[in-house]
Amino acid sequence: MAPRRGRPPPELTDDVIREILLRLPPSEPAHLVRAALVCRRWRRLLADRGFLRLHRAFHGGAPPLLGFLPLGAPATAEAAAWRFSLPEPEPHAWLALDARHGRVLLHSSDPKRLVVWDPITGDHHKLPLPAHPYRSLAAAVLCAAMDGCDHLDCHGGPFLVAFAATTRRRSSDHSETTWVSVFSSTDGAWGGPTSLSIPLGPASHVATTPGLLADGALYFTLRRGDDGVGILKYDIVRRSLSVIDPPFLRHDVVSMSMAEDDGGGGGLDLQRHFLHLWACRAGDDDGWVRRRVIDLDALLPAAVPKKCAFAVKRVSGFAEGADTIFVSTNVGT
Amino acid sequence: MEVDKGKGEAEETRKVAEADRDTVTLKSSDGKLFEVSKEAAARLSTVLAGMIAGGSIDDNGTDLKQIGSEALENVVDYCNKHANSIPSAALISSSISFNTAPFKEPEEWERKFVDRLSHDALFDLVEAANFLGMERLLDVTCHKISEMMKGKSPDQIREVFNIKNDYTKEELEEIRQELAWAFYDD
Repeated sequence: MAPRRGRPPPELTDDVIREILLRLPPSEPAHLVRAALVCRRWRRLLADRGFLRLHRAFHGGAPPLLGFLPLGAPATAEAAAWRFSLPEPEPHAWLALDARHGRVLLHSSDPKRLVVWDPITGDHHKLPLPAHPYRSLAAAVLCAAMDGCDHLDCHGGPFLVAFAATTRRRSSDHSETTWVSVFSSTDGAWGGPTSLSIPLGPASHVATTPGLLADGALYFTLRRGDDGVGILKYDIVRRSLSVIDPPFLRHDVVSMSMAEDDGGGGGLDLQRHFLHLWACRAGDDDGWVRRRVIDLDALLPAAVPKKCAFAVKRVSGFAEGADTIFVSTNVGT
Repeated sequence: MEVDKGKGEAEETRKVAEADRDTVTLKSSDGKLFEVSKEAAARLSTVLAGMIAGGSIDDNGTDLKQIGSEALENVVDYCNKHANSIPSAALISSSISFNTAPFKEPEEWERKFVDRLSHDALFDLVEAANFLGMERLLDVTCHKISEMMKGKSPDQIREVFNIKNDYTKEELEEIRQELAWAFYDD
């Protein structure tokens, strides 16, 4: 670079500085933080909501995956490289149930309640658990705007929490009843429950795994009494509940609902070393097709023994909208 | 393509006001005249395209008071190089809007084009590209400048951009502590 000449160096306009900062690699957010420390003007440009929208549009639109919270284990305060502060400092009492649209849904056991938490701003809303008794639960949090929101910047707005639960019936047949109730932050109250009309059979219940939102419906995983799996579908607009039986009804299967590009549902199961991705055509709950088979041994690091009977792999989660599946193993550190 | 650049007053004598000229004449803030292909100007600059379509192009030199002669020379140079780098077949279907097209890495010639510029010339050119609505040139120049920021501390970035630090020590320390993870590799 040639040395500067006598005249004062050109000053850049806000427009141009914005364009330059937009092009810093999104995979290295430290660049933006350092840029914010340059001067007040740069910080103002970066903190502007318009910049946030531009940045997301420029880099492909998918919201960044900040990290993951362990489910079924106490929610710890650290996720990926970013340290978040939980709403209340009692990690042992927290259970992360779901995360979507910039919000995390936590279950607190003492006192018993749900908390919708915005990890970026630290805002949180406490809500009571539904009044109906239940013995197993799954829940999902989502932006209240079903249409016309790209969910890139709605995390401070109204939200819905859908609570799916299974209750043991007190009647003599011992069958289960499964229902869904929805909390609206605008109303500040739970709506009446929608119950599944057909009993699921003994020992069947909603599994505490995150739900999936696709095409105006929420999908939860069901554990069937015969060690199989089913998918519970809740249509948010019609408030209707139904059960889909996927083709992977095997006891050694971990299944999860996934969204498909064509608007249909999908699922995946893990059988030994192979991850199977299944797709279901939109509007045809019986039309299942096995889309892909992924050999995990070819993907996993060499430290995980190949075809080893003791190396248990588990599908531990997926990120909606980020096309990411998390697989965990009990081998290695 | 015939390239006339920086010939200043020589251009004044060539006031050929033909209606179907295939070039446009641009005048820098310091009064120098540059000629550029009408097709390239319309394709690469939304502002020039608007002026050409709206008939506000002055054959004696369209005034671009915000752009100095060095930057305008680089703009014209870029237009000509761009036109030459694209096969003619692609020219026909090249009404791409760079606003919506995903960012493409700079091509080899574009990299060389910005690499040879001095610091000040690069900063002048990025402003000219922004003023003229030249999305691709803005992309290439901003990309180059953002690369100059990589791995630099706030202090070093201030030096590159000639910016005065207007934070107090306490403010800086507070932000640094809050976002300590961003400074691990300082």
